Amino acid sequence: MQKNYWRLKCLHTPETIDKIVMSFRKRGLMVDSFNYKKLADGFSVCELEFEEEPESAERIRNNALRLEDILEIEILEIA
Amino acid sequence: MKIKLRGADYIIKILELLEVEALFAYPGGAILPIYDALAFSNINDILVRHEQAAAFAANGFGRVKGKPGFCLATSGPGATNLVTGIADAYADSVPMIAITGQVNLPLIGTDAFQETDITGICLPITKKCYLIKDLAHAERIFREAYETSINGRPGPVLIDVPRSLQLAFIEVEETWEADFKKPVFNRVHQFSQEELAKASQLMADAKKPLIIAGHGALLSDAWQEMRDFVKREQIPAISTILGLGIFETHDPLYFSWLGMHGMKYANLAVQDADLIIAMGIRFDDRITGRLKDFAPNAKIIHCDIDKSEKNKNIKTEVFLHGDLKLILNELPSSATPQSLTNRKLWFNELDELRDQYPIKGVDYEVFNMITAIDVLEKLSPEDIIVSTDVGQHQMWSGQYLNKMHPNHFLTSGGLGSMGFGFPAAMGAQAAFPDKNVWCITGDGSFQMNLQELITCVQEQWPIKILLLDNGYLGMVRQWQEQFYNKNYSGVDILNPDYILLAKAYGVSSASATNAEEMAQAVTQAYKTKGPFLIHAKVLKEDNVLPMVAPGASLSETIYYPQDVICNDPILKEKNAKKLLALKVFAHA
Repeated sequence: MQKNYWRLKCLHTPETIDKIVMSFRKRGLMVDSFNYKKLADGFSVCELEFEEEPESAERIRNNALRLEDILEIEILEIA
Repeated sequence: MKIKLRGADYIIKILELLEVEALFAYPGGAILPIYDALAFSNINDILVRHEQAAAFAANGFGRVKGKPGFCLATSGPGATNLVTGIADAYADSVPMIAITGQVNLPLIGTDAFQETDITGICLPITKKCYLIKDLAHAERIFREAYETSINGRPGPVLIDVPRSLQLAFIEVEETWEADFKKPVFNRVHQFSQEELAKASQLMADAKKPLIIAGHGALLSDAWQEMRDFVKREQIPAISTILGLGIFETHDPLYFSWLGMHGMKYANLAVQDADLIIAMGIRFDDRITGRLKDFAPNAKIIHCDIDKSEKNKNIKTEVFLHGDLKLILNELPSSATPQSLTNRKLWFNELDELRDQYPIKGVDYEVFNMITAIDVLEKLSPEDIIVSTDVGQHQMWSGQYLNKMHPNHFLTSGGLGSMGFGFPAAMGAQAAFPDKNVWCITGDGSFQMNLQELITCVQEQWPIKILLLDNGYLGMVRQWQEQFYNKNYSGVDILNPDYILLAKAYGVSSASATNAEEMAQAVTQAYKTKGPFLIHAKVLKEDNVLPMVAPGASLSETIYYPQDVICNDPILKEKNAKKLLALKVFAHA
């Protein structure tokens, strides 16, 4: 298992938080920490932390990138 | 100068400005104001008999027309009944907009009568969900929804409209209609010239390149570019089942479709190729077989509109992110004297494979699903639209229908929804009232939405139905035979008298128990102005082959048993004579 630290750039909509966690929830996974903040001009940023194998983390990333409100995923750290 | 509009009238006017042609709908309490406004609109609202059919019909409309199909339902059960059709559109990337009524805004969260969190339910199966909380946002939301549905990777969008907003009033500029801008389709161009050059170099270097074209080529309306590209580059091509129609079946450059029930020679071509050029496909497990053994010798170029597909299931050498039409137009030629020589040798190999593993021949002496489908096609004009349901008949339709035009073969690929076929045919007929639309279905699938017969009668849609009745849930039975030791469980399906049923609905019908009766029934169907049902009583136990067993590799594609005749010239000649006789007989 590896610790993954991600930063997501999103659109700030009523669905955004649900959509971020959806990619984890639908695979029965959990997020260890979650920090969501509204930015200016309808954007938002979310930093989260979770433990998962690299291949699984990559699939979560791909699933999340299909979602309309998630614009970018930056991998901050893998530990 | 400002004018005042009731919310419901405002929303219907927005739909008119979006040029909605058909609205597949079912009324109920939370959507009644919209219905009140709809009565004064020129939008063709079609009263289905179950909301699931509304969603599938909108889905079918979207597939055949290439622009969003629209469906409408009330809150609660009306909305939840749409869910399967929406999920189906998401799985196959079909543009579609579902509109649902919701309880009054102040009642949301009180567990009110017919309240469901439909935006929450649909979150994982839509590109976007909206709950309108202020009428002032309605125009923007509908435009955004339309734009989202058609742009990028197409898909369904849901808009939930509380009843209180339908009844509320809004003040708008008198000129708002003239100022309204319908969203347009923008082709995405995210690939670089360097990536194109790299892809082209890989093609030039490859000895055994193979194109796999999927639904994306049809969704981006790039089938002509695809045909031109294949011809220009002289690279052999196969498709997915959802990609049927991209190529002409008899094009020698086309080697049919791959996957679980694709052609064995197409599957083996993948396994032998040294370069896969994947265009508008998503490497679904039904086409890859055991993933780790997919295309073991090949480098992969993947072209797709959706960046999230990059390396999702298969690692790629080059990922070209963008609209397929643009990619195909910009890909430089990779044809060199050496590469053309290589490709010719590769073609010869594939031709040999095609000769070695042909599809089973049709035998008119046996009345199975294949015979029925073949007779239907042989007696049909070139440009029929066919929708299928899900199961054995779906796979045989894909294998034996040989003249499908682009976007004329509608099938539920990703979700595999039984009950899809008949309402999807309704959507296609609404989109193209003058085309011949057939629904090829099984006795299991048809019973999931047969209530729509009366919708066809009411709408005077001349949809023709070929119901292939083997008294089984055939595909499940086949799996139980092959993988569960013939332990048949829950598959022996009792059927109603379909001829009497059709009569009760006011639908003309005919039975067929052999090829002659089938030919006569097809001719009768074409002569009938309204809907027509052919009840074809076919061979009870029959298996779809070739087949890649679940978890197996494409290299392990199961072919027919040795005693099955695949390419017998005597049988072909016999069939040709019989077909001629059938045609004469049928027309007499």
